[in-house]
Amino acid sequence: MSAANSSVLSRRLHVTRWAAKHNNLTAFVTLALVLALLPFWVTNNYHRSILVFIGFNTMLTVGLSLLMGYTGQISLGHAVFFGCGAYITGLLTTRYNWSPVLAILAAAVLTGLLAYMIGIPIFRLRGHYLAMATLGLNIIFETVVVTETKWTGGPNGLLGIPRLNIGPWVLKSELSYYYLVWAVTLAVLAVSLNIVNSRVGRALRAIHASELAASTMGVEVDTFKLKVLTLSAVYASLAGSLFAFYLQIVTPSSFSFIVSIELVVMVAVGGLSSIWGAIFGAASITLLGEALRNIMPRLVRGASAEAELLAFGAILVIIMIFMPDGLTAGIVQWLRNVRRSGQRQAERAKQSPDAVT
Amino acid sequence: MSLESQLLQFLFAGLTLGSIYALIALGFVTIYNVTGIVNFAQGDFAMLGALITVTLYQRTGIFNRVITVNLQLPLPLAILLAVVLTTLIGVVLYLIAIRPARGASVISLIIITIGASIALRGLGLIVWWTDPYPLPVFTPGPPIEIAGAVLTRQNVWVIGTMVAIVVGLYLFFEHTLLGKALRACAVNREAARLMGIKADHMALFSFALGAAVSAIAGIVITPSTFMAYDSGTLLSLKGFVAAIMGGLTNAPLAVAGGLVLGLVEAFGAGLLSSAYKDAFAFLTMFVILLLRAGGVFGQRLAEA
Amino acid sequence: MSAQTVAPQPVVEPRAQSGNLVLEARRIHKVFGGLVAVNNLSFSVFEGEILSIIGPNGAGKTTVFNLLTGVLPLDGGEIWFRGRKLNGLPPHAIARLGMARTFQTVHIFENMTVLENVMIGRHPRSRYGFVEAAFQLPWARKEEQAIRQHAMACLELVGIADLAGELAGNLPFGQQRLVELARALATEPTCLLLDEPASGLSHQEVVELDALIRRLRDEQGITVLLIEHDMNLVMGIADRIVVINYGEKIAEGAPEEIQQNERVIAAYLGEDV
Repeated sequence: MSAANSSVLSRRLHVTRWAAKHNNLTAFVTLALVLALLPFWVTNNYHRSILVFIGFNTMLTVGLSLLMGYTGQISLGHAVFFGCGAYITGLLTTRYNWSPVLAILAAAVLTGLLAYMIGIPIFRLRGHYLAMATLGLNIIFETVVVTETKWTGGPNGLLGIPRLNIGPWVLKSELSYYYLVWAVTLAVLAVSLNIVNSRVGRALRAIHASELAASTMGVEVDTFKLKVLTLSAVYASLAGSLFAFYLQIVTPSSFSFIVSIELVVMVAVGGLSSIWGAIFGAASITLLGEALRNIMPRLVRGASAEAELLAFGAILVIIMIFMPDGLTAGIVQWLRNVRRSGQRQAERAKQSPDAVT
Repeated sequence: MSLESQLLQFLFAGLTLGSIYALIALGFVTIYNVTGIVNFAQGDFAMLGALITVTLYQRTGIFNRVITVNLQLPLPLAILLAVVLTTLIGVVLYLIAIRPARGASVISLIIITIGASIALRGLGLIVWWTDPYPLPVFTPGPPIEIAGAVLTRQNVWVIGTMVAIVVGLYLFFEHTLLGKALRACAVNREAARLMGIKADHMALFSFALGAAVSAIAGIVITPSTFMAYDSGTLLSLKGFVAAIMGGLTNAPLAVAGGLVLGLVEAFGAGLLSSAYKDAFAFLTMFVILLLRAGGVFGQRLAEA
Repeated sequence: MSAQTVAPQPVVEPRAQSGNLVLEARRIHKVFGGLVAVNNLSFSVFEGEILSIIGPNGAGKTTVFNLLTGVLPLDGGEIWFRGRKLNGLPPHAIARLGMARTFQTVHIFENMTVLENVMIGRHPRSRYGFVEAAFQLPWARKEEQAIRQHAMACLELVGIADLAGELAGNLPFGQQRLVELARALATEPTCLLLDEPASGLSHQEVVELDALIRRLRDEQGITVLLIEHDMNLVMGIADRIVVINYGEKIAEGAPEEIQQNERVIAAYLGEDV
């Protein structure tokens, strides 16, 4: 290979990378603008609350996407970290009168630590065992939260959580929570995009593809799994904290294993191989759930909104059968195939006259 | 009640629960051996079996009481039909969800069976709503008293059913051609295929068998514990915990595992805290899993 | 070894034969469920040589590689690498010390591009982590640039720089082997372990592989440990050969000696080749 040739190559590569990076940046800025302007169009508080929930779910899904989609470590207990964030924040602000911002930080640190400590034994497992163990963890969490009434308020939940204040500024309106939640979500998103497009992101994907090869190439497999779990738990904790201030009450049902599975559905829909997909997954499944809750009882008398369980289950099965890399990746792949077969046809059309002569 | 009779009482409770877990574990092991798939919907078959029996046996309003089913079949017939229907659901599940995904990665297969489990749970919710349903005890009458502890007749039914199914499955696997073919698949799928055994048919059959055994387990336990649309999940998890004691492949160990788990739960609930009985089951699981995983890091890597 | 190192530096030093000991296996032992896979095997590898390990199928050759790279724990014996005992070290630590390998059944990261695959090879020679990545700190960017350049250089070295942007999983088998080799080279290994690199390659590709291995040794000073079934390749390229059968060493010596060795011939004849 001549030097000139290779420098052209590396320049071309450099250009594509620049483009990829700037695509990300453009997409990010566009998203931020759209989100900033959206409330001018969406003025109804109920609709705004749905947008806030999409924010929470995006934070959770982006973290789970790093863990499941990129690193290939299944978790059916991600709601535990969401719940830890919410309950720790709730306890600190109601019982000990901590300032909300400090409570959020403390919850993030404690939840991160908890995740790290859980990760040490649990990542000795994989596949089915990891799935069941994380699911078991979620059920233990539910049991603890329901049982330790003295601390958590039991099934009735933890009440009387104050509104979030940042210094003298108290957040009360739907709109203020919308902006706060999405600002944090965008931060989470930016950090995650940076991570996946880095040495760390490559290491995570390598672990997913082959732990054996990754470790013999010098990737500290166990350390990276622990760190990505911790990071995703911190995201979940942030979501949980904001969730607590937003609703001013936290109840066990928000953190049941069904919620964990819903998050897996969101990741499967969008985020198995892309952070952007995770937003799509979170948004579409949140909206679908909301739509089913509204539409089902109207369509069939007495049909319960809980039909979403059936729908989510079916979605999971269908996506995994037909698009095991997630819905967005599946669609991208499909488009690519269509284009490629189009190109091939064009080439064949070009070649066929030569073949005749 | 004296301490001894109390302990004996826990023992009875533990064996009853354990029998159920053992049966569900057998379903896990059968399906895993033949197909290499962990079917998370195993417990939901138990829920379906029980709730279908209820619907056939007594006047039941389904679809949020929009439709009333008033067949009032005799209990044995209702049970038989329910087992058959659940088995069919197992077969359909295999055909529509599992078979199209043959050769998918482990993580996809996990998500698929979890999706199936959630879908069945959702189906249960739509049909039967959130009500817990009972069934009458199979043979009414006074309980058997042993040294101050009480063993109800239904407990005897549960334990007896478990023993009968274990013996039946043993005879089936050891002495019938189909059973031997299934075992051949479990030992070596490729070799079995070369010998003319259709792996696909065997996989289908293993799902049918797994669904049937789970359905029976769900039906026999319902007179003592009630059954609701969401009962299946915990049964799945606990059946799985029992199954991993035998490494997901060893049926006798899985049965033993089910019984041990039942006992841990009963004694834990009785002696320590009843609120945490499910937590005990999962703590047991963590201990077993971590013991099993211990020291084989290298082996796992090399197999990867 | 600093992260700033941009390209593989050609080592000018001439082949120091029979000089420094690079790698030494001392009575290494491995048992799988009662079956002895590697039986008190000892051998030494010297700096700058190409040592080939051959033996009939199932002789335990790949297991030896798995032991050397820390993928499997030893059941007995010691492994010394550049003056350090490797026993108990995890694979990633051994990679960092300068041992790299390829696999008999290719283990590339199929979901990544060729360049990204090779960039993974820079992992042990770079440092920036989660925090630096998350906030795109300046030195992380600089290091990323260095990683990319070095990976490109490695691709050029094995001659597949034009494939940098391709998805690794889409490549034909022979090129996947080269990706794996480039990835291993990116770790700047002192010692390179190649597990049947010629299997599945065309005759032409084997010839190119032969030249490439020689070049790596001669120009980069890399010590090569080679498991191979292609006897033409082995006999032509190896300085020394270790023959194992049933996990035991049955012969060791120069290619000409091995070809004459009766135990070796018997072992291979027993295999019905």
